[in-house]
Amino acid sequence: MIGSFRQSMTWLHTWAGLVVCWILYFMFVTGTVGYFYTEIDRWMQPDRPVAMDASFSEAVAVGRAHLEREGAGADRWFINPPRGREIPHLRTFWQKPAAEDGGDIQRGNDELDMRTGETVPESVRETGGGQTLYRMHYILHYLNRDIAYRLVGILTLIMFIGMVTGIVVHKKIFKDFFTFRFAKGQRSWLDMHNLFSVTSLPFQLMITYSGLIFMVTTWMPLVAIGSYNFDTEKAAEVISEATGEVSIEAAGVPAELVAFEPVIARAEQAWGDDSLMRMEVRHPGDANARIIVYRKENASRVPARMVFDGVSGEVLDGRTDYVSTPIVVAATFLGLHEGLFAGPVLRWLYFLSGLLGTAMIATGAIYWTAKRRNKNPDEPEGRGFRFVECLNIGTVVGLPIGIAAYFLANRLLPLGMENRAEWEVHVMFIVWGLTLLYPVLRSRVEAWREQAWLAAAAFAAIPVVNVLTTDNAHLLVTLPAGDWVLAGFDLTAIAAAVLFVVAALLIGRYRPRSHQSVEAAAERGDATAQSSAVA
Amino acid sequence: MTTVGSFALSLIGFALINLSMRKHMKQWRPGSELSNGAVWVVRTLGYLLLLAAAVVLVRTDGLSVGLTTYCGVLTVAAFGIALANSIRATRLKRDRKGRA
Repeated sequence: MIGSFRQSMTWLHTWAGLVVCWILYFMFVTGTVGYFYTEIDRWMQPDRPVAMDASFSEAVAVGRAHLEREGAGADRWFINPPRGREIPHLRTFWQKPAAEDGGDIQRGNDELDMRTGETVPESVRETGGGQTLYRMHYILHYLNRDIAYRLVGILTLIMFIGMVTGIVVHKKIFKDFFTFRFAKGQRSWLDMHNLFSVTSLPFQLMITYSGLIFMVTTWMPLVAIGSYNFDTEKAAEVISEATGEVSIEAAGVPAELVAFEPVIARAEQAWGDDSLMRMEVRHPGDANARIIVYRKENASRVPARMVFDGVSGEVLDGRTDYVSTPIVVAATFLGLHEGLFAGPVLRWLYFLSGLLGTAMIATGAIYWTAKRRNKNPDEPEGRGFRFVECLNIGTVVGLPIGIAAYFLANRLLPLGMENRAEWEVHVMFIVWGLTLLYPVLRSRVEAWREQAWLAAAAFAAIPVVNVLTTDNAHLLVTLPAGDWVLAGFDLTAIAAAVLFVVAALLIGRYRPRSHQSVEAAAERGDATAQSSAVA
Repeated sequence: MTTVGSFALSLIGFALINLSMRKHMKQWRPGSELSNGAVWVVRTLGYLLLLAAAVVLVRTDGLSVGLTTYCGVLTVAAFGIALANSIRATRLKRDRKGRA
């Protein structure tokens, strides 16, 4: 232990936070942006047809007609009716078993236009969309998925340690709750770090702890495997068993699949109108057919389903308490993490809380350098210190520039380009890489200021390029039409540009003083001047 | 609308708790100081308003969504008060400099 308990925790907080802060920043930025992945998807593919609402029974009828055509002979159908922003179009899925004499399992996944019952045409703009950006926060894009999950699990644990130790070391957590002293150098960075952390503490604790729950089977597989006497094949079924998945073999005797209307009526009678989420059919056209209707999830994502005989339409299992308490707890945390249940206002609150978490990490990293510069104003900057500083500048401002480049690439890369979606991502990482190198060539203040201006220009360019490259998806059309999804994206880009302009102007006003001025300030006994002179 | 109402209650609640802290009271009302009894009353009222903000959301959105929204609302309200304190402090400093 280093000195007292609190000193040990301070040491742990500082170093655990610093060593991984840049990758945590990446996870927070991409995860935060991910709260609007559906809206980003739409902006990146503006030519796709706009979603249309439909009742559950209408959508299921369209889905069934499609599956009877495309998925005949399948042993599994899924019909996922459109559901607001999360599922904009009716989705169907079928799966045929592998032939006994070999071959692969066949699958078909379609999005259907409710107006025509036909497959929604692919966008001319091949893109990874918001989904790719969102998935980066847990698969880190270029890494092997297994390695990425394990790495993200460790990073999340370190984040959690950082948060708990942060609470321990923050002596005046209530006294300083509303405190932010502006333009006081190192003190201001610490105040900002504390303010961002404490005001959004419930969100940060929830998002980090629930992030750990996502990784539970990656990092603690023995719990499941041990429960199955180390039979790894059986242990693979743990999730389907725990969530009460229906398991039944086909009888091999043909039988007509019952009409869906009475099944839907029975389920709605039990759970209420507009309460159904999706439908699954096992062995359609077989005497052992089963229809499984799932209830809409609430905030907790706890699954609830009713099982019907697919031939007689009889209810076989109407229980809603078939999942264990640990699954309920896990589903609650996962539901809170993803926030799929959130309406527009709560979604923005999620987004703002995510931004505060991002700012918490950024200010923590900057505080580390400010504190060391303040402590040793005489010493020339060592390589390690310079390395941290360059990473700070290249990540805190550079990553947003990379993300802006990702959106610009969506509009500017040639439409028929091979691997276009992958190249959007490559552009993002190439630009981010360049912004990581740039601070090496410039002084600290110049690099901060110039990259802030570059970020402002990049975000301001988004709506402008949008006007030049699309016919009807830009602000001049979307604002008068009240299309707030598309307009909201461009307006958010403008807001980000304004924010970076303010940052650039504030940095522009900053004049680093020489050491002599620090000494002069010290002689005058002006502690504030000393601190701001070197921060 | 409920979220806006809850936000307003949280903002006022935090503002009262903020004023019940002596260092912040000095910022907003230089020279005046609350008695111990008044501090207790203002602080309790602040906490009651925060509680009311939670009740409003839970009653309309249910326990799970209501409490989730409440956490977000508290975050924005607390951040707003801290920002107001900071702006106030900067202005006071500028005024003092102007007088000097």
